[in-house]
Amino acid sequence: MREFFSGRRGRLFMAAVALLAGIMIFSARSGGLQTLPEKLLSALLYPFQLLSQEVSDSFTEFAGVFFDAKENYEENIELREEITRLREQLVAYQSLENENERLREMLEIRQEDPQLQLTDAQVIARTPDNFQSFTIDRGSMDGISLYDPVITADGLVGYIGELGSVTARVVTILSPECNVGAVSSDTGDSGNVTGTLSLSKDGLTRMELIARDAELQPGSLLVTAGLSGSFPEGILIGTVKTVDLEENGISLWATVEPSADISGATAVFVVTDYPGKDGEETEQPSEQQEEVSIPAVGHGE
Amino acid sequence: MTLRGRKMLKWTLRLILLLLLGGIQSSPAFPQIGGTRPMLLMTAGICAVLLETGIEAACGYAILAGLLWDVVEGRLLGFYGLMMLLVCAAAGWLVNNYLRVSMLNAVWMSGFGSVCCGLVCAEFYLFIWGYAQGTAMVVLAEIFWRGVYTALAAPVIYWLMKKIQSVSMGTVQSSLRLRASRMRNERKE
Repeated sequence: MREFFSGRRGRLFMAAVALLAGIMIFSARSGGLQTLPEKLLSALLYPFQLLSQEVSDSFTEFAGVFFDAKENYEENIELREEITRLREQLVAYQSLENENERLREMLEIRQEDPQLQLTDAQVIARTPDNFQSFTIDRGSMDGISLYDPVITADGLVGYIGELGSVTARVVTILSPECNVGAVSSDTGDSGNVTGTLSLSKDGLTRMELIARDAELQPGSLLVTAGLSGSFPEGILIGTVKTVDLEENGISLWATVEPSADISGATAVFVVTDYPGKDGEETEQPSEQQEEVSIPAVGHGE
Repeated sequence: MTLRGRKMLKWTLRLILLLLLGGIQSSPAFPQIGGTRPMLLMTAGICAVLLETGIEAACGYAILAGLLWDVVEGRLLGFYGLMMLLVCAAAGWLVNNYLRVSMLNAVWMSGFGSVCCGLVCAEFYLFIWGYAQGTAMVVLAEIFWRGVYTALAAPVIYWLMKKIQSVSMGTVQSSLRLRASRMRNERKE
């Protein structure tokens, strides 16, 4: 040992120990601030630490696929279940939103005519006929009666043509089965609105038995006359598009564009009661012809 | 390439390896065993002492590894430098007099050196200040696992150091023969 410390290597060893001890004392007195050697070493090490971090992050991301496979699998299942729950909630919210919109429409209709008794209904099926008939999710158990008018916030749609316990079929104003007494809101000219096969394909209906000297013009708004009691008075039917002379030359007829979106309706209202409603429910709508006199002198209903 | 050029290449590559190991050792995503990381810089210093014929240069390399270790772990600059000097000097003395240069020796020396440094560090940074009251066994367990982890990582670093040696200076066998001949000459003297 003595030979070691007396030799060159021993002296170098002691010098190194003394140097390191001096560095330690110098660093200890810095009060937490990095000394120059520390700064140099830190600067030298910094790019390698950055490189190492990027490599390890990439490897961790890659290896995580395998090491975290079980956790990812379980989390996947949990997230799928959560997605299912959220989807169910979303469907429920959408249903609530639709119901909210329907109720607002109902409120709007009631505000316009507070005496109307309305029952909201959903369109659950479309009948594959030419007249856009459809089925709703309301029936006799919901207080619906045969031949009750069916409307939306935009206007008249039709009436209840078939009644079941929980469902009902709606005959629209595009159908020849439907006959509605109508009157122009601006000119007062009256007529009978009923559907035809040719016009129904274009989503239009027809007003007939119009007095020859009527002042009805394209753009006139038509509303229900409400004289027979089959439909409430003042329900908007549609807008006159064209006015022509009948083939018999005695009266006029007009094409009418319904104001309600009959083909796209998803929710409607059934008018279960209104002022002037005929209490006899056995009355047939095909015979529900408004009593309209042949306009020899041109007066309406 | 001249011998001087080869030596410069060797030490440059070793320095780059040392900096890389310092970056890896401090990497936050480095996998841990028992909550510990391996002391890669210590292993590099010991491997340099084992493989290098000139003990002075190897100890200088070990001191540098210790200083980098101080910066990485936030210890007082020079603390691990001094530890590395003592540990690597002891390792060099063992290899020169009693042990062969082999991977197995590098492994157990790295693990043992790690445990020794860990104990000294725990003594000066925890025990004498009373910070480890009631948790001494936890600290000792951490030191043990760190030693195990360092020993497990040692073969890779030993192989890298040998590769640098062979790339820059030819085969390791030639340097070992050179060491053996120097030792024989010293004994003759």
